[in-house]
Amino acid sequence: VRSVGIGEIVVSTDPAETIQMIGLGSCVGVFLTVPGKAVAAAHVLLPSSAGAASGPPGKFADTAVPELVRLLGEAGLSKGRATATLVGGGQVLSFGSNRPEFDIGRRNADAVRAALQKAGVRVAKDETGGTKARSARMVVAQGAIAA
Amino acid sequence: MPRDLVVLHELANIGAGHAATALSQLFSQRVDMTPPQVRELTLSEAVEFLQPSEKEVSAALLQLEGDLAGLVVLLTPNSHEMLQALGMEPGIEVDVIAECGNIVAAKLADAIGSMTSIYGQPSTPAAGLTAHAGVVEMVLSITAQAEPFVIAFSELSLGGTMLANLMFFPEASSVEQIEALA
Repeated sequence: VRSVGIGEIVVSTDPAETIQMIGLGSCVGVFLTVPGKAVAAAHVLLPSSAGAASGPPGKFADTAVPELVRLLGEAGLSKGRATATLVGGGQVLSFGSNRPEFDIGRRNADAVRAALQKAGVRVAKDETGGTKARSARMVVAQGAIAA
Repeated sequence: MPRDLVVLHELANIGAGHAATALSQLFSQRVDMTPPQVRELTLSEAVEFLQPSEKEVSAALLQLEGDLAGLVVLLTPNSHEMLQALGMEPGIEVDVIAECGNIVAAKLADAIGSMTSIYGQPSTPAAGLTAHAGVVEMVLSITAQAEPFVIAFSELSLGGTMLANLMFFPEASSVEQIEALA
């Protein structure tokens, strides 16, 4: 089992390997899967790398998606065969006020979908939203989130 | 490049002390605190430090606004014990952590403000009962846009039992103002 920490990206071409993200709340877990071949996954913290933001590519939706596509290409797989599964992007705390920084889950999910569209990757499954934190586990050979 | 953050360390220590004293009054028992660990961390270092897990916690997040800007977080894996210590029935964990969050954020901001004239005003809290990792994500989404960032982390305990973690993430501009006092 390989855990993908916040802001990290992991690529696996080992069919028996499980890729996991623990307790996804406002973050979005993006899994690009090529059936039976590979999974490239990012644990996205924020929508955009613009402005004063800094950090690794997996941290931001707009840098994570191109990096996932590039890494699949490096593994000899074209993005045309890949589909995306999204988990997380929820609102796990209730807000006393209407502050935009607390609405980060929805903005993350929107930004990931926009980046995938721009990259030409189809979303096969979108399980974002809700109010519960959720762990996601995917066996590379199966290419789907385990129930 | 690690900095000493000497002034912040001292202020966080006094501020957390005031917060612990205020909670002592609420709980009618002495609340102890560990001296804060003050660190400057990258995102990956923060993840390693905070160890996000699936364990259920209750947590309150409050933004400080003003010259003293940042995020105050009060988080406990022991919400049940917290309610028990207050003589309250289960079911209001989120309300209790939100109220405790209000108290600690106000005391922390007041203590730092009165010592430095760098003032901050806490927002109303965001609170919830959820996986620890879900809270860590929310906290880092607010505090970790730019790296590295600063955390002051202390642990509060009640009669030898861990009561809660108190975390303060001052914004970079406030850290500069505070360290300029040295």
